[in-house]
Formats: sequence, C-alpha cells, structure tokens
Amino acid sequence: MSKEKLMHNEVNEKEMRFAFKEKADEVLCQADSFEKRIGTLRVGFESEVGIWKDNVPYYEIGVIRDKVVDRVKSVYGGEADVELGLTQLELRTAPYDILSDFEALDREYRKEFERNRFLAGNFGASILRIGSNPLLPVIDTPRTDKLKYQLVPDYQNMYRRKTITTTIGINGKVIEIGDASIVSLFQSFQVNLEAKSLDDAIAKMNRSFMFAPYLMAIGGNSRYLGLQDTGWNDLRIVAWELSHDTRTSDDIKRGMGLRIGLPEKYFEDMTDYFERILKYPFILHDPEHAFKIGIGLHWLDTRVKFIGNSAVVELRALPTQPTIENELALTLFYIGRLIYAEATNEPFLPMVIVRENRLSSLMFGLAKPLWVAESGKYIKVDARDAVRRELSRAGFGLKTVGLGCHIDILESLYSRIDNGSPSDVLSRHFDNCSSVCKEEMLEALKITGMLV
Amino acid sequence: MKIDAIRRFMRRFDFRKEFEGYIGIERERFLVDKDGMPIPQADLFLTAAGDKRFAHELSRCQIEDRTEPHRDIMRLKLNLFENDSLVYKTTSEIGSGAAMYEVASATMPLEVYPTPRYENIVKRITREQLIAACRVAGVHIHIGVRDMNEALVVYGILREKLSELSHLGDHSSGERLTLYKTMATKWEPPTYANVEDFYEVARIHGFDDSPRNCWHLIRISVHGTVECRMFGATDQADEIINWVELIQSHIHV
Repeated sequence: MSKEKLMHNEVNEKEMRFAFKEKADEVLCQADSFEKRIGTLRVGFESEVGIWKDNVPYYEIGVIRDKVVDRVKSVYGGEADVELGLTQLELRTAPYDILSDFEALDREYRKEFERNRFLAGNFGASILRIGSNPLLPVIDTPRTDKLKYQLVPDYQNMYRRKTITTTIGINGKVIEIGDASIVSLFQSFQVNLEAKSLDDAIAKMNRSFMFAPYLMAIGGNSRYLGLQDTGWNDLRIVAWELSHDTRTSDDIKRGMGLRIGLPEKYFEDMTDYFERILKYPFILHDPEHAFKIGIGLHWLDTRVKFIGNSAVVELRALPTQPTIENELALTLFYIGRLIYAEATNEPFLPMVIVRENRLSSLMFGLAKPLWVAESGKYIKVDARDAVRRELSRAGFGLKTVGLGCHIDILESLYSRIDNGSPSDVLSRHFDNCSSVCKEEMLEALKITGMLV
Repeated sequence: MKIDAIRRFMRRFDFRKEFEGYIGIERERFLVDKDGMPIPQADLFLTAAGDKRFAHELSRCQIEDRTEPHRDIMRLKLNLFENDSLVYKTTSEIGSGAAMYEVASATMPLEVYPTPRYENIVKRITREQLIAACRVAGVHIHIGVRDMNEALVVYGILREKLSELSHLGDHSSGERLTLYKTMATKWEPPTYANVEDFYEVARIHGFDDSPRNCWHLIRISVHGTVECRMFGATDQADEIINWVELIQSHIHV
C-alpha cells in the first residue's frame, strides 16, 4: 500500500467512515450470527514481550526479533507477529473452551512462550516480560519499519494539543513522554473472551470497565521509563493517554473523552459502541479494512472486536506479567470476577467511582484506598482488602461454572496482597532511587524473572 | 501612614514559596432533586459528608469542593475524581443528586446559607443581584505564587487573557458571566502597576480590609494565589485540566 493511500485527509476520512458504517450495519443486521452456544467459554491470549540483547545496537535486536517471528511462523506454524516497537513481538494462542479444558489453553500458552524464548536464546537474546521497557530511550523510541507504525504515531505527534502536559512522574519526578512512539515501549497481556451475543459482548465489556481497576492495582508492572522511576504503579495506559490526546479544546468542552482507557459512560448497546468509534479519526486509509482499523485504534481498557462470526471481548488493561503463571492467575481473576457479576446480576458501580478507582490503581496500586459497593452503599476501603474481597468473588464465580479446581492458581495473587504488585517488587530492588544504571536494572529484571 | 496601611494589606496574603506553581481547584455545584431542580440541602450535605474538602456557598442549594494544591496534573485530576466520588456517595445517601449547571433555573429557591457573612451580603444587595448570585456556579483555578511581585506579574499576564479564558470556560452563551456581572458590578480586573496601585484599588473598591470581598474575575487571593474565576461549572475533569494547562502555557510554569 502506498503512503499516499494511507494519508490522513478529509476525503479519506469520509471514505473510511462510510466503509466502517457499512460493515457496522452489516454486523448489527446479522446479530443472530454472533450468537453462541451456552455452556462454553472460549478464551485465548495475546501477549506482547520484548527481545533484549545487551551491548548491541537496537536495529540488531530488531533483526533478531524479525527472525524469531519468522521462524515461529514458518518452521513451527505458530502464532506470532511484530509490534510497533522495534524489539517487540506478540505471541498468540488459539481460543480454547476453558470450561471443558483449561489445561489446553495453559499448555499452548506455555508452549508458544517457550518456543519464542528458545528461538531468541539461539540468537543470544532474552525475553523481557514487563509492561514498560525501561532499557530503551523514551524519545525517538525505535519503531518497526512498517508504514502504519510510522503514520499513526506521527499523526498523534502532529495533532496533539500544544498545551498538554507531556511529563509524567509522582513526587517531583519528571519524565518527558511527549512522543507518541513511546507506546512502542509498552507491553500488555490481553485476554480474549468470546461473547455469547452482541448484547453479551457489550455487557461483558461494561462489567470489565467496572472491576478492571482492582486487577490493575495488583497487576501493575510498568513503573520505569528510560531507567527512571516514575513512581507510578502502572504508567502504560496513562502515558498512552497523554501522548495520544489529539482532542481540541472544543472537543473537550463538548465532553468528548479519549479513545484510550475509559469511555465517558457505560455503553448502551453495540450501536452506541460503533457510534463512539466513529467520533475519532481513522488516520489510515484502507476502506477495505475500515471496520478493523476503527476498532483497532479504539484503545479502551476493554474493547469488543470481531473475528469471523465471533464477538470477542478483549481485556487490554493489564501489562505483561513477570511469569506465565501470573498471567494465568490474572486471567482466572478476571473471568471468575466476570462470572460472579453475571451470576449475581451485580449492579454497576457508578462510572464516577470507577474513574477514581482506575486512576488511583494506576498511580498508587495497593497503597491507596479503593471504593467498593457494600449492600448497595459505596465505601472506601484499604486497597488490599478491596482486592482480597474481589479475589474471593472471583473464586465464587469460578466455582459457579465448574472451574473451582483451578482456584489455587489465584494464590499467587493473594500473596501479592502482602508483597505488592510487580512494580512494587521491582522498585524495592532500587531502594527508592529515582534513577538506576542499566546494569542494576538488568540485574533486578533477572532476579524478578522479568528478563528470561 | 499609607505605608503602614499597605503593610497591613500585604499581611493579609499568605504567600508561600513552596507552593509556587502549584494548582488548586474550587468547584461550585448544585444539589438537585430527582427532576434536576436545585434544592436547599447544603447543610444536610455538609453534615453527611463531614469532610473539610466541602464548604457552603451563598445559595443553600450549592456546595463547593476544593482540591489540595498540586504540582502534578495527574494528581490534581485524581483529586477531582476523589471529590466527585464523595459527592456521588453523599448525595446518594441523603437522597438528592448533584448537577454542574453553569446557570440554574430562574425559579430555583433563593434560600441563603445561614452565616453572618452571607446575611450581611444579602442585606446590601438587590433581589436581582441575589437571584444572579444564587443561579450561577463556576470553577475557580488557583495558581500558587511565591510573593506579591510574582502575583502581580502572573495577574498581569492572565488579565490580558481574560477574554480568551472567559470564552473557553463559557457553556451558557455568556449568560453566567452576564449574571455574575449583575451581582459583582466591579468584576473587571483592573491593571496594577505595583503594590501601591493594588492597595489603592482595594481601598477604593472596599476590599482592603478583606480581600475575600474582591469579586474581580481574576484576583490575587488571600491564599497566596492568583485566582481565575471566569470558568463556568463543568463535570468534565479533562476540561478543567485543559484550562489549567492553557493558563500554565501563558504564564510559562
């Protein structure tokens, strides 16, 4: 595809909007085709990791990354792809019905990861399992040489509001993040859950917004940027928000939110969701794929995407974890908590409260109280108590659908209540120093299992 | 004699250099019934909330929330969210709601919160001014300054931007500011060449003894801040943050 075809302009945007609407209407008209059998729960993973090799230029790490991805696909027929970051790759699993065989998902995910690790090892490289790569530069971060990976960040840089604060850091720490390609430092672990219908997809997405902050508090794993301590439990999404805010003052005045993070309100239905996507520029010009592009650029904490005749709820709020076991535990926390909410027809927390819980979790993790609902009332409790209580609800949910035999996997999260999130654990290695040297960082990453 | 008066006047301002560049927000909002009509429940709300972040306003239908002073914009945003959650919780408990109307209905109740200061104010104003005072709600942005000299510089810069900032913070096609100007006839921030000038204006406008009685849309406040009062009420934290960032870009914080 030529650069001209991908350029953002009014005519191209109009075409993209039209093509998106056509496909969205088709989905809405064929709602029945997205209905799935009750009694199954199909789940798959996408996980972004970094490749790291010390003392070589970044482009060389990029070459290793490309070779790993190529071999996963061509030699093993596996699922892997490059990402925005020059040193990143994404590995994927097929969806599995976890109600009948949770172990199958577990096995495939481990196999995919070990394969990537093995191949990287063949080139003398390691795998970095962390939400923000602390070893690469924050400005002019090396990007993958693909047109869309050049155009989208460049668009964000060009149209960002000039007055916006592009620094991040708590307690006097100030780190400049005013380059949209900063997201190429970020790695997330995504849970894909097949919905039973379009309505079910919207309901699951809405519920995910509600309780994701508890998972974010305990799952925080992106605190360092450019070897500097930002003080955040998980800065990944907030840095994304700040570097990708292209709203004008008038947009903000009209109440337009960001296409990153949380929507302004819970979605009413799929039409409402599609209409929100249409409010934002498509940036790329490829009408044949307008539907996929529109959804792909809608970086909410949870979003609904479409794969064939499946409406898939994608939890995107969590950073890559130090271990596969951690990610399996968070997946069960997520799914169990979702089932609990559905089984008890749990009322939604008001968005105003979710908004505070979310930002507080990202900023302070388990160190600041969070809101919970208790017998129809809202109370603020110690974040550790809030997470403990949510984990217990998740356990209840897992038992409800016959996944009770996997509850022990949640134990690693119970221990985090005492030990803190991975961000907390990593920062303890540096004794609260605001900046660290590369050697210290590499050592700490190895000790914490984030560099393997 | 005049020098002593100026010194006394200066002592009324609590400048603290450690808060230079910090931002604090005050927001006014209405307590409303299920139909969205303002209701005089500020005392009920304040008792139920029991939190020093909330205070009364002249209208008994309004409350005000305040943030701590923050240097970090995201921490400021979280503080706004925290206050919003507390308002939601408290209004749920007392069976009311809250609304960020910039201008409330002309038929709203005109009950005044019972304090001697408000009672004195009400004695001095016309009914038209009382109605105007009760109906409007705004957002006040405080910018911390280290001393009076810096206050005068920041004040001077923002005074030049009054029209731009007023337009940006307007959600009622100018109705709020029209009502504000009915209530506060001395709304226009004058130029101050120096401290003596500032004192002279304060003396003529009658706020030399109590700078809290200065109703200019931009003022140097007793908290040691320059306070922008031209913004209308909004329930969007992002909008307030945008105003703050614009102000910061003007004064190069």
